[in-house]
Amino acid sequence: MDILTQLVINGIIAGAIYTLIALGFNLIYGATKFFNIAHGVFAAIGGYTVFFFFKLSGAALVPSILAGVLLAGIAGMLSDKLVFLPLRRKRGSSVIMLVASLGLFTALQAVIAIMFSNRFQTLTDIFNIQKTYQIFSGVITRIHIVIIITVVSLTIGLFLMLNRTKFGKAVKAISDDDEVARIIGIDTDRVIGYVFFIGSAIAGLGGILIGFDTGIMPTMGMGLLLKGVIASIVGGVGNIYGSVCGGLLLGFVENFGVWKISGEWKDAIAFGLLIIFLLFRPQGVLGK
Amino acid sequence: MKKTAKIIIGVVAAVMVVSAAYVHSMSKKPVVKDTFKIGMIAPLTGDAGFVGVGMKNALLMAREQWGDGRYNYEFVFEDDQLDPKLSASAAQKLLNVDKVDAIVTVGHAPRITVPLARQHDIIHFAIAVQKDIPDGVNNFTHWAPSVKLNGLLIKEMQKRGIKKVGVFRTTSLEAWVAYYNDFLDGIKNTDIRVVTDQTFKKGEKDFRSLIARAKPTNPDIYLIFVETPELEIVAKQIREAGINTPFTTLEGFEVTEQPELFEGYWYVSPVEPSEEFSKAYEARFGKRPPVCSPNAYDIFNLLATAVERAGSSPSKKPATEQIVRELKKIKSFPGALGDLLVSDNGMVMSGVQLKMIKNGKPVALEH
Repeated sequence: MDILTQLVINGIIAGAIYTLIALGFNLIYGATKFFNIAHGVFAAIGGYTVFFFFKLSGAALVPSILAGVLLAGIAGMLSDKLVFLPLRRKRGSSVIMLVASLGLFTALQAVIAIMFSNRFQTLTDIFNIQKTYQIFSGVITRIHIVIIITVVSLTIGLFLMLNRTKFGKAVKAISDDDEVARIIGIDTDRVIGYVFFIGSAIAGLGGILIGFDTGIMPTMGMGLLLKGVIASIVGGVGNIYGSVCGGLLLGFVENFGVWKISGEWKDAIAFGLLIIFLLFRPQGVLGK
Repeated sequence: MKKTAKIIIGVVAAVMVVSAAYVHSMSKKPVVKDTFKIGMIAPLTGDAGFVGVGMKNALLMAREQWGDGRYNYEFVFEDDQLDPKLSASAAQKLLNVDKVDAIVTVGHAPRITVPLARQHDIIHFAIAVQKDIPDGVNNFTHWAPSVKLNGLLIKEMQKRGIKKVGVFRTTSLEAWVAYYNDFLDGIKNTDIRVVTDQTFKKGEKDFRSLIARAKPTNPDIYLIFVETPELEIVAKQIREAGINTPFTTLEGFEVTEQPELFEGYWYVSPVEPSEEFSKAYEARFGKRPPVCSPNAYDIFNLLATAVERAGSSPSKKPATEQIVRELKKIKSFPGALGDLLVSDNGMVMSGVQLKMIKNGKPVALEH
């Protein structure tokens, strides 16, 4: 019973982390219909901004986190304005967009590595043992509770934004058909720019929270992105609620998988799940 | 007659002048020393960057101290970031572009360099624990033998009444696999047993489910076979899971940047370098010599000694075979890691030491 409770908690924590990445990824995919590989690096930008302000410069925690989220969002928005928008205007295919995003990812990752070195860094002064809480016979840390609350709040926030605001309705219209959206007067380029800002800011927040949990390194984005993409496909690519569903399913499968087999198989389990879904339910659990 | 005598005297004088000029010019011709090139493949950046930087510093310091020998010694340093792909390309560059005469390696690079050293007939000195790396022909190692390290670890466990061991280890670095296999061999005839063995890949950051699996086995001690930063992350997550069982390792704790996580815990590592080496290193580079730096220092001195002894002319460095013959003649050498002996199968062994983290610093214990 002990281990089962702990595995459920671990599954929820891992699922929440994957959801954080998948939420922004799906939001951008829904509006642009391409796999934005560069999305992963915005998580690293968020983490390293907090590292710079909070740890290296001694700034207060909350302004540092706000700066991290804002900078990740601005970087995402700029990536659209400078790279993806010109390609969209040239009618670049989704493959061209994907290759461009891969190039952007590699370039930004290299910049982070040059600025801060390739070393693993923590956002706290030392590897502080975090305060823990008992849930039945399992244990959860304070930062994990923050991560779960953040994911729940973001999902509710995105739900309200997409369904109750004019901007959300514009995003949904672009997701359905961007040509029609343009014909009915929606400034699609501007809306997509904001979508990039929101999606990248969420990734940045994810990078910051992961940084407080374990730590950060310039290459952290690719691993997170892969899990985020798996969560998106499993839940339903382009579907915001699918992100939560896919993230949690992936978290549970990974953590329950290593209950009986070696920990080295964790990634293989995740990709096994992806292959099963691609073969038997390519639209994901909730569809598009 | 007078004229003939004058001619003879003139010719002799001319010959003498020309001879003197020739001898003078010959004596002024500088002797061109041949250069012995040593390549190094080690992580110079990234989490393990301190290891490669320490090795590089130690090699440079050893060359400075060596002074003016019969040959010039030149280094080519390659950063592999502890990534086997980069190790492989670095080895190819050193052999095919830089045309080095010897290579010093650590991490993943030893395994990659072994066959290349044979193929190119150069000397390869690895700071490695794997028993199948040295061959005494092209490949040599300089490290404390795993059997000796594990022997002391097991002896200390028995002394402390430890019977149940929980293991967290990476299978991504060959050295840790070699250590673990020797540990299992070592406990065969003891009452120590491994109650949980949790393996993971390098780069893993979430150990919580593995910890949940290990927790019910209630080991007396956790043996952690992984390098920084996973070492600290796994230790931190074990503590966050509410487990207060002590940790131990081979080598690990003294290279951590978070010694407070391991305060009061004992471990086994290769013997401390000599005071002379440590002081010289600290004076030159402003910090204590990191792990592997004394080994690199010793490797240069062993190599240079063998090269100088094997060479007959400064203008032509000796062949690998001649250097190896001289290397294997070294049976007592005052190194940074004690009195060194090069065995016939190519191993240079150093001693082992029981240590403990006290007030955030590694302290040697009696054993």
